Amino acid sequence: MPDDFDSTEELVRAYQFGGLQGYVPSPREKMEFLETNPMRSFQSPGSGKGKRALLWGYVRQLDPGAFSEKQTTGDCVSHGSRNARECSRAVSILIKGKPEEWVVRTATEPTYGARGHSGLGMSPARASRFERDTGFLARQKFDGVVDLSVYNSDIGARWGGSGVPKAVQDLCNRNKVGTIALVRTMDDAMDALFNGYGLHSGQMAAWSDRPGSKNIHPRVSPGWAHDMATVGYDDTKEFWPFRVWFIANSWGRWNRPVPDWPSIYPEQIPGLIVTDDAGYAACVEAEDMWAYSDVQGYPAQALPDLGSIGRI
Amino acid sequence: MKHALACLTLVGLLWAFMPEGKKPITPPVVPAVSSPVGKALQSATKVDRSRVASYYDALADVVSRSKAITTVEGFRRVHSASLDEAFKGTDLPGKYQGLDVAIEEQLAAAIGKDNTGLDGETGKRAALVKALQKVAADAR
Repeated sequence: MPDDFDSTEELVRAYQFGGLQGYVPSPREKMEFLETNPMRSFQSPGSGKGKRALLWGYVRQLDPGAFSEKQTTGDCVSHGSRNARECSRAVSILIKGKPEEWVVRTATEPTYGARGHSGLGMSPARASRFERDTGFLARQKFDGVVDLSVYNSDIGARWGGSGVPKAVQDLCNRNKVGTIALVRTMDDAMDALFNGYGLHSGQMAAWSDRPGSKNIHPRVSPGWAHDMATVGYDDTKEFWPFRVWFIANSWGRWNRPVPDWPSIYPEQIPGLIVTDDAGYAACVEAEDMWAYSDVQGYPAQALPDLGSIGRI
Repeated sequence: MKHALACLTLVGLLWAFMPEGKKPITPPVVPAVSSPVGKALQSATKVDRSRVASYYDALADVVSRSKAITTVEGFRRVHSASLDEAFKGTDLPGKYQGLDVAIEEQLAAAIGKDNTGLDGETGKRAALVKALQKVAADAR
């Protein structure tokens, strides 16, 4: 079942026409998550109206290869949630000055392994619950337990039926996502991003692999049952005369980038989707969008010195 | 108050009209060195003081404007690499004992050694720029 999609074209075809369901909506799991969550829906601490937040740029400062990991099975939810928590983690370290260390990118496999069945796909609420209650792991080798140093979809796929092994869960417990909130409107999504919270959402919606005349990727049919992270927005109208959203896909270089890219922006990431409000509405309307904050990462390491010792 | 003013005026007049040879000789005023950086450079030549001061003034300017230096670790990398570039091959490294430690302590007191961001709620960038400018001022 895993590594079914050797090429990007095959993966895109499977989502577009092959009925691959990476995103599996589950009203029951969503309700179960919300019932045990201190926050039912996102409450904005500050408005991002008329501003921009380009969160992927912070992640790339700490991990230059971020957002290039290409899924090879129906584990998009775990890629979307990982990318969302990496945004929150990077902003916490670089902007909010949280005394934490980046260490390395985090892994997708434990989250996908917690989907509760041996087939493909997962409910975003179930992923949220696992990351809130059990946690996540770094993309590292854990001697005697599991090697997550390189993305291997086989691992998460294998755990689906039997569940994530206890030893792995015990390791996950060190790092959890502190607050996960349901996002219900586009303005709330904008405010969440403005406050440095990464988002991921599952929806039935697809975008063209070629940018259109408005310098965005237009929506196409049929839709993908897919989960992706929203990693930025721009409501300044400085470069587009309307609000735009930036969605990180997990398919590698599957599309053509938009041609007019603002020089003040961080570099485009592979497979980035640029869309407008009309295109983005589907992500919010599916009511399966989650904002990640208070990600408990890795304690800051004190540096040996600040650079002058032995040099002057 | 009136008396004090009159006394000061009188002393001033007497001083002004005293013949040159009879003026008491007073030692030149040496500014008190209170900072560790200043103490480490107490025996330094004017040229060396100026080299150190110019380097830290320039570094303060770079840190205040740089979008690439965003973390304490990022600053550390730039600081160490630029010190190497600036002074490697000169006689300055190690010439003034304790200077490296004095600078290190002054910077660490301002921003700590934990590898966090410099911007946002930390306010570390402003503190770092101020500390670098103080190193430059103390070196002069």
